[in-house]
Amino acid sequence: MSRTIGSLSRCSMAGAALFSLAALAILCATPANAIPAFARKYETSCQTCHVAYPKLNTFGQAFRLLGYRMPGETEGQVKRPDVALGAASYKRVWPDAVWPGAIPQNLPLSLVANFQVQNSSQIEIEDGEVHRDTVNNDMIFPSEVALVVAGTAGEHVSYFGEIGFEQSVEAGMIEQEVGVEHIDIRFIRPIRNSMAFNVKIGSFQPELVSGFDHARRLTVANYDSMFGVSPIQSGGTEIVGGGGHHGGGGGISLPAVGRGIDLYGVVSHRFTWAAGILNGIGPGDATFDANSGKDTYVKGAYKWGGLAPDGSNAAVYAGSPKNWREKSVQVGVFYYRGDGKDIFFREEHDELGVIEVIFVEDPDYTRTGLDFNWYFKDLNIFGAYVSGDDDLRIYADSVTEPGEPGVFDPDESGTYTYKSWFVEADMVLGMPWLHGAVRYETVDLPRAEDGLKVQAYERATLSMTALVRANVKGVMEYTEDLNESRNYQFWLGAGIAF
Amino acid sequence: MRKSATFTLILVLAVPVALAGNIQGKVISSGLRHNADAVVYVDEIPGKTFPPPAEAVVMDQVDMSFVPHVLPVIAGTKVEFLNSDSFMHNVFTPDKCAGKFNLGSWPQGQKRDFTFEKTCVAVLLCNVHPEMEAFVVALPTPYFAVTDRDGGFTIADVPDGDYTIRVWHPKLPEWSQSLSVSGPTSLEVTLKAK
Repeated sequence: MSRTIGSLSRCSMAGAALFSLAALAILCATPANAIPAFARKYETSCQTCHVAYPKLNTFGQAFRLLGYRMPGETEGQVKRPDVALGAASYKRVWPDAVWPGAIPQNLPLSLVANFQVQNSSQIEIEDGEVHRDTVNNDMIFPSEVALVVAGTAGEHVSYFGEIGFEQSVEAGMIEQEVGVEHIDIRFIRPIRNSMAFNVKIGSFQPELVSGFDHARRLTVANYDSMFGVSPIQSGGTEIVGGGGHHGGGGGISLPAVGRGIDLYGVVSHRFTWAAGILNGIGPGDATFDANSGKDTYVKGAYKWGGLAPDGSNAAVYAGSPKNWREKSVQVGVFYYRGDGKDIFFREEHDELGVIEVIFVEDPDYTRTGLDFNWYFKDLNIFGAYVSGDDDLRIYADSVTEPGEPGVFDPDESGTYTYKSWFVEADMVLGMPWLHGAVRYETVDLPRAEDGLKVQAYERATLSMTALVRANVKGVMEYTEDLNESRNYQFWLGAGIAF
Repeated sequence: MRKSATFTLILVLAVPVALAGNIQGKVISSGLRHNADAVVYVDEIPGKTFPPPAEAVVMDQVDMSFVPHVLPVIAGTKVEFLNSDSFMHNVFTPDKCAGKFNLGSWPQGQKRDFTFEKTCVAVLLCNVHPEMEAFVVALPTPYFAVTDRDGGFTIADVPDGDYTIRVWHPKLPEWSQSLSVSGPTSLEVTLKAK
């Protein structure tokens, strides 16, 4: 039996500590998806594509989906044209010559940096005693730095990459890490120049949901009810083993990032679809995937009104001069199936002072959900619901080889279902440089341990963003556990992209 | 005329018997990349009014730019704003002299218009693409021209007479000077960027 005990994932750990929101924000830094390289290429403002960076307006969404091209793009719109790697006429010579491509005149590199001042409070209950950790005025400078590279490489080819710098404090030491968070190559309209079919290969944000975009959100706080839920844990215990999606994508919920192949497209201008295959849980001991099984997913969504997702009506769509406005509704459904066979997570339970070790396997899990996105005047309301089913198999610690899975425990094993959802309202507050966001999210995860509903929580987030410039912003955000007011986070932040 | 501006003025009275002539010359800007987009015009002539053209003048929005960047018109002229791009544009102005109009947004191939009733320098902006900028300069007389990149201009068929001639540019100080026109007349102005 091949077997893997995944390494401790910082994000899973953060997911276990339900309200370690700062950790989630800092350690699980999502893509800094503001790409000033495009502002340079087209000599256009960030606001052409962003409501308030990194959140995209619908034009920016179409631009992204089109592989970083304007709807109906003309040569004249590209103010800094790419360098041709071969004359266009070489297309007529193919296959007797290499199909001509293109590279940007300058490396399309952008830098995004965020700075945060954190105030937080978190309580933990151990043996009936309440412990409270507070952080006051901790200046996390920087909280995130990312180098983003994105662009087009001639007809039908696009790319996106992000190298992130993160720092955290571990045992009194500042630890710094640099890593490739995303890199992918995209083939856009490869067949008959139709947007109905596109391919993305690499390490990327799957095109799994339509109603929201976690990598381009307005808030500091991530959608933990979507990406930070893990059924591989129980109340009051510590996860001491187990990776998440993509080795840290946030537990075994929805993958925020995945290594794989994503097929997606737009049919009849309004219906978006996607299907993909990902490594799933990982990494393993010596492999990026922790087993040979793959996770798969499909999604479909339809949009009524507004700019078509493929931008096809951009030339005839009058829109609003306030380009964050639109009258539209998009509704989507998605289904994700994960294969966690032969991947074991170790859990430690403190049973009256005696540490009990068990192993959990999640060989077959599904996530079924729906999402929506509604634009009305200055308001954008969106949300998602996920129902997760986990066929958890519990094993005792091996007697002969302690630290390895032993006897299967059918009494503790079974199918567990969790439900999570969130709804968020973003609004332009009178002036186009002032944005507010209110979010409610909840998770109900009944992984039974004495019948406790662990990871059940409700959380509210209130956030304000002020664009000091199109590429400079200030953020003020407060998040609170609605069932325990002593669990909260308050951030003051600033960011710049250039 | 502002103190920061320096200028030289050269008058050449060539044909004393002519009833009208061109004012030809250059506006040289110091501190700018090029000398284009300066409006050289004859200011209000007491006792004279000029009707606007019957046809509308078009300002295009193409490749995410207003074309032309500077459009002088006679007051009362209807300006049509055409969208030639494959996505929506908007046109508005924050200037009171043009009524702070906002024409909304419209798609490719369509146009909306505004009549500049008063003399005015109105900046035109696109709410959808904040980098876009243009100017409509509504003038009291039809005697005007816009400089090219070399600063050259020609105001055609100016009747002989004494006028106040002015120069306007978005980045240059305003300039004015009395000028006697009698047939072909030359004018050279050097201005330092604000």
